[in-house]
Amino acid sequence: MVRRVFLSPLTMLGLFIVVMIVILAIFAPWIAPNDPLQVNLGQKLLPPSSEHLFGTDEVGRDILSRIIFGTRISLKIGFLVVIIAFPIGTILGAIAGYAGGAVDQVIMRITDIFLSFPGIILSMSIAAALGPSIENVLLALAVTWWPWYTRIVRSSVLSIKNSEFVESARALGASPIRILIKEIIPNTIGPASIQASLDLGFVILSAAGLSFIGLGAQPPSPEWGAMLSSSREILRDAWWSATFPGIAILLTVLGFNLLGDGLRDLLDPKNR
Amino acid sequence: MDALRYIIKRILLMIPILFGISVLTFFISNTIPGDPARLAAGPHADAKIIEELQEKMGLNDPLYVQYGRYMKNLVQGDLGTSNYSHQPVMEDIKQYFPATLELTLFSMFITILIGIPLGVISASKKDKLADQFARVMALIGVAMPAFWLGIIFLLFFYLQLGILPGSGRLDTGLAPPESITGMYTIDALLTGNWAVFNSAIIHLILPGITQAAVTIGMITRMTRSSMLEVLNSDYIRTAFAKGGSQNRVLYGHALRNGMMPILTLLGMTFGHSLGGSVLVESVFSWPGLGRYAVNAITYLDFPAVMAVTILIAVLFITVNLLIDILYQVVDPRLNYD
Amino acid sequence: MNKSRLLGKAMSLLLIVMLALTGCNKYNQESSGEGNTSENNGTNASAKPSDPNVFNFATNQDIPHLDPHGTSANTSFRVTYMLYDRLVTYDGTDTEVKPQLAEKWDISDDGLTYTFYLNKEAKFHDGTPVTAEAVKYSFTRAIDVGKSAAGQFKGVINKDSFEIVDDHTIKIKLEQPFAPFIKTLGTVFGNIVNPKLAEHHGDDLGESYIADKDMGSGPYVLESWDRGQKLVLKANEDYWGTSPTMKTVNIQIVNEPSTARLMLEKGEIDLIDDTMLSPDVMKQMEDTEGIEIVKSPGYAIDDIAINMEKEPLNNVKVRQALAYAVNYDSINKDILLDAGKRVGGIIPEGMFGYNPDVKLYDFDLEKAKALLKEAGYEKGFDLELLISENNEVRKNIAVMMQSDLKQIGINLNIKTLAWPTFLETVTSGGHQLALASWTPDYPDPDYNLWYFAHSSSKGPGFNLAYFDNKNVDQLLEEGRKTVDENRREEIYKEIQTIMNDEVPYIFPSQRLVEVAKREWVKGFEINPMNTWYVPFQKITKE
Repeated sequence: MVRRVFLSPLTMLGLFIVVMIVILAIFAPWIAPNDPLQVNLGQKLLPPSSEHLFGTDEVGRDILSRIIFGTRISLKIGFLVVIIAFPIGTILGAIAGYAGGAVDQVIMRITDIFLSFPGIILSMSIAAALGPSIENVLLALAVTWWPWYTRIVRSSVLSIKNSEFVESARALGASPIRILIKEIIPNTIGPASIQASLDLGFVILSAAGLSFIGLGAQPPSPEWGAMLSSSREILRDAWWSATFPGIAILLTVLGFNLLGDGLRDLLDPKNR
Repeated sequence: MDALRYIIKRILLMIPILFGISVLTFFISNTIPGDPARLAAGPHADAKIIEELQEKMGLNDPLYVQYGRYMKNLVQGDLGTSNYSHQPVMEDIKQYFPATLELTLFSMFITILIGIPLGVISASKKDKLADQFARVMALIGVAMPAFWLGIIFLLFFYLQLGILPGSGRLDTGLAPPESITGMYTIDALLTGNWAVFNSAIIHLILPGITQAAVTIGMITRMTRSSMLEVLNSDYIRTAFAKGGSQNRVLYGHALRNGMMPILTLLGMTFGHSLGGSVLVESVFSWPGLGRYAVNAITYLDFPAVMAVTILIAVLFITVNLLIDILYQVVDPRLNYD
Repeated sequence: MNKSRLLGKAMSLLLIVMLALTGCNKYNQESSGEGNTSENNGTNASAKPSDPNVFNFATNQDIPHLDPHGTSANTSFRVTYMLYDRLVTYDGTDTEVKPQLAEKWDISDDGLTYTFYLNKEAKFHDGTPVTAEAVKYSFTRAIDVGKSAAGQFKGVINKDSFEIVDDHTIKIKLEQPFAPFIKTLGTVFGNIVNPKLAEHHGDDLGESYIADKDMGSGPYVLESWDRGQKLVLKANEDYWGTSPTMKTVNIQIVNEPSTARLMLEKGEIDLIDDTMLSPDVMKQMEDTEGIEIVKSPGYAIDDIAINMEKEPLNNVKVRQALAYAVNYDSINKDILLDAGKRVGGIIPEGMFGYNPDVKLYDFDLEKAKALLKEAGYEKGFDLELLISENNEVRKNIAVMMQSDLKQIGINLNIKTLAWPTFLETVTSGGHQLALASWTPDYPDPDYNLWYFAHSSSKGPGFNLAYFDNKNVDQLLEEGRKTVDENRREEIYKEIQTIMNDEVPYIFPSQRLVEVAKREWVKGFEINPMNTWYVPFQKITKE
């Protein structure tokens, strides 16, 4: 099975990108050529050069260094949102699927409410209510994201609810909670996990979108969405201030997507 | 009969969901720091004027009273008056919604036109160069920050080449057509106004493609995986063996059978686009619902926020319901769950 | 192979159709200029303007509504100032009022009664004459509506202040002497509205009725309004005053500053809203052919409000330390690119009452550190700065301050808030530092100082420093009542000196107004206070 992963060039590319990003994030202070927060008004809006490979921004900060440090923020948001939303969604989905009846209905209606709520309005409102900060964007996105896992896990649970090994556990007198924890959840977590790994990229994309409209990262934070937002005014003359953050977002999301796809193929070779 | 019961059950279920959404929206809106009265009164107003305004706007009543008042009006079809524009919210929506609808329809059109064939080709030429290429393009499309793409398109097509416009729905000198649906293209066609039709279509292109970039990626992937499943089935192998032309088998039988997940996804992206076009609308100065909603949240225009949220939710649920109904009708073997 | 060939054909057909529809290069040459595409990289350098009777203005601020008594949005002012006339007005670059609907006026010796003699020619757009009744109605409604317009007249006039002498004569009696009164009448809040609006009052004083209509007497009428897109003004052919030169005005909402700039370069837009482009962008545009950057003195002042009610900001030494820690030169030179000048107080240069001798704090981190030590804060502390969003310049100033303050041990956190949230937070005292900009609506030092320094203005009155000084209060009150200009000048100079020692505010800069326009726009003037004002009625395109 592992060999299969290694054979797929796209998955390898995804893995490579993600690993590079993680390395950049961990070793940022040593890899980045300059301090990402160092203001230098005399050097503002310089085009890419040997000194500043990606040029400088509107207050003279080195864009390359900012992009490198930005990996930390993006990864943090991506992982944290998923780590918060995933357990909540999974547990709720498992309970809903296994318990059935009224409990199922209530949980699914609540899930539907959050799913039908226009995503951007929900995240904007929460971020506006709590105040602009990257932490609040995290919270806002987690609230928008958990319903997806609930749905997926619930369908999985429904399909194995009446299967043999669950029946036998029941026959042996195991309590519902025990069954949930020992039998159901481990067997249904698969599809949801794949979704989660794919979601990492989308969370980063959404966070960048929220920062773009001013709700997330605050100055002087080197978050890519915020960098894109600042570049809008001087776009015409300083193309580098928009191009590189945009490419950073694109590559990051692409990397996680490729990796997620590869994982999905691993577990479901029929769809390769 | 089962089908009818199912449909009615789903429609009835919409009610608690919408109720829940309205409560959630109301609650969140009211926790956003900011006082609509102070905003309306302006920066020079003193405390007394603000107090009087708060009273007039009913802001001093307990939340559940305010909520009750709003819902009572809502079920009678009164969406309230916008704190920001002083117009009935319904009027605002009549102006902004068609713009988003038009853009979404256009981008869906492009998506279907490009995404489905790409997915089919990709599946039928699995693992060959065309497939790899299509898959990478789809992946890039899905990973692309739409606002960034929009900016790049602007720079290239508007500034450099000058062949496409940079903002708005119409050329500056033109007046919108007589409002029937609110969608300039359709209204222009209906009134035979070719100049406006032309201009409207041209203005739709860049924002439409930008919005479609993401959805094309998703549809291509879904079409590909759905087609792959179907293509491996006995039924299709038989069709090929019986000597059907490749096109006919692909587009006739296979696609038809693989259509459902694709339709589901299309429905979801349609519903999602209606509410999610904020960034594209911003970059292209498109006067749509997304921008209206962002403005409403920013300016604490609660009636507008509530109205937009409920509207989009209703549309989203309805579209999904229609898709699900189609699903059951087409394939009654599936469970009603 | 059939499928892909077919697909390929379909795609190319689609592409061809689209290109044909666009009629190649249409958006490159809106005007009649020739040969302006390839070599000019898409800009329109031709000297001939697009249709000289249509003026295209771009802004990214949406217009909420057109009720003159209910909004404080500049973007609305720009329109209503054209749709309506006032008793007196600020024309072009004027900072003194000129007669408009009132031909002349008398002021009683005690400064309490103003008698206005209205121009008998003036009429509203529906043909009815502008009478004293209309004047009374307009102000009364403003007070009743109780929003921004009411705020300006509070404490000055009330509903009983008006006495109609005859159809074209009206007496206004003030509650107490208020020297700047005549100046307030030239603002947007003094717009005179057609009393026919009373028929549509309903239960909201006609707010929803007038939100998208014009009931004025001004040089322009509202032709159409596609919300969020374009508002069109047409010249009032029967205008009782000087006929407006520009026949049609299109006010376009363009969200992205870069797009608006591209449109300007192509000649699709003639003038861009001055708030849309930062100095960096203006500088880049200076050399573009066909485009002209107009610079003009303005009364706008950037200010950092220090909330004196919060520790450690209640200690004057701390505030003075902060004043020493701002790099004024860098702000004006590097961030504003000389579109601003250091100013010592809230009275701008050029306004009566300006004190040029106020001692200025230099950028001196050593002095700042020493003061902090004296105040007992050698170790430094955390501080939060609020800025309202969507403004690159403010963001850059904040980031620069952050970097400088770090060197004296102060950890500055920046928070960008949307304007409504910003307003709410600062007017309820939830801030420590707030960076904002202030432009007076009328040119009187009392306007700025009362709002900034009087104890009664604390909070919602916009005294964001929560400055409370009995001495200053007394001086301000005297200044309002006195009619003697010399005494007033003395008073205001003294107040500025006191404020300079107390440092409730830090003033990084007084801004120049910079506007980007096409060279073919003639007759454009910038008003130093009403920077939103575009004199469409005097502009021509040649």
